[in-house]
Amino acid sequence: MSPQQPAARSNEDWLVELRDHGPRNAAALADLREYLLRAILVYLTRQRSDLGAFDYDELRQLAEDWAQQSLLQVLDSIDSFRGDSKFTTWAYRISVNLAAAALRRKRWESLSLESLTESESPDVALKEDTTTLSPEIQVTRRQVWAVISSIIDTELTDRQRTALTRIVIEGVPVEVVADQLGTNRNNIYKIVHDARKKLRRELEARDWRADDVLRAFEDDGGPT
Amino acid sequence: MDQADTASRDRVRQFVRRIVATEEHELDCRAVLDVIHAYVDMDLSGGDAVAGFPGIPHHLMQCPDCAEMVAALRHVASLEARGQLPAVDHLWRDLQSAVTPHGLRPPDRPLLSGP
Repeated sequence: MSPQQPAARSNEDWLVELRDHGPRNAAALADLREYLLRAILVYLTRQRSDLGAFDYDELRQLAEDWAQQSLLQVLDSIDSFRGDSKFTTWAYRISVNLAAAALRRKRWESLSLESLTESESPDVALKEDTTTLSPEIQVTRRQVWAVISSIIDTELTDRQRTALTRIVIEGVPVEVVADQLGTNRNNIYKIVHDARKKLRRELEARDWRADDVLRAFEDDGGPT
Repeated sequence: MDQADTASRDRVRQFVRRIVATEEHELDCRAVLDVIHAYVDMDLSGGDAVAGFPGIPHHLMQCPDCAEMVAALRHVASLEARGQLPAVDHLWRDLQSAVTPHGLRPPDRPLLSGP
């Protein structure tokens, strides 16, 4: 281990020292904060390729803030740690989740300001480089999308329709849509899941075979 | 077709595929987040995480945000397990390299967003 690494601990050591009231507590807190910060920075530098819009000093401050916030969240929820993983993996889950959600919001803030005058059309699904698609695929796409659009317009609830339009057509992050609808990310998943179930049933009722739909909507280079 | 159209078209295409793959009962994000650390550690230690946590791979296919988080968690836990988690100073330098000097370039529209 490099001398720069904070001390490694067993799960039990983490729990004892983070709950301690003596000098071990200060050291454990400092080490945990550094681990959380490193997890955030690994996520930013290894998993994201879209940081060009950010200023370094701004992003550095955000990373520090996210590390501090996630440290507090870890301490608040430490009694819920069940020992079913390494303590640090459990803690990283909190910091990475916090950073990823915050980053999606930040990116959307700047993106939405730039695209205030743009209007997305659901027909974007059909905007293809037609030279790369067979006429049969183009026809199938139009037919399937017409069915889906019709179901979205006429058979989904307002919340399902709003969530799908914002997320799928406009690319709004789930967290932002959740704020707009006065709910949370988990409920948005349930709303979209119910909508997908309805759409799948209706496609099946109209005799659309899954294989045919998948073939029509696979990437140009093949299925993904 | 501009970049925004391409990203939107990709989201629509992914969404249609997710409609076809929809299951009657799916784990929601909260259920996945509650066990995802154990799923990742089991996978990294060579255990059969898919059998140990049925339903998670399907959720990850349906939810790009959770899938992104699992990929990030797996990456950092893997580095730590191998003793290769970079030091903070090293990571600050990497971060500096990842951003432009003035932070003025507009972001690319995200290719994947939401279930």
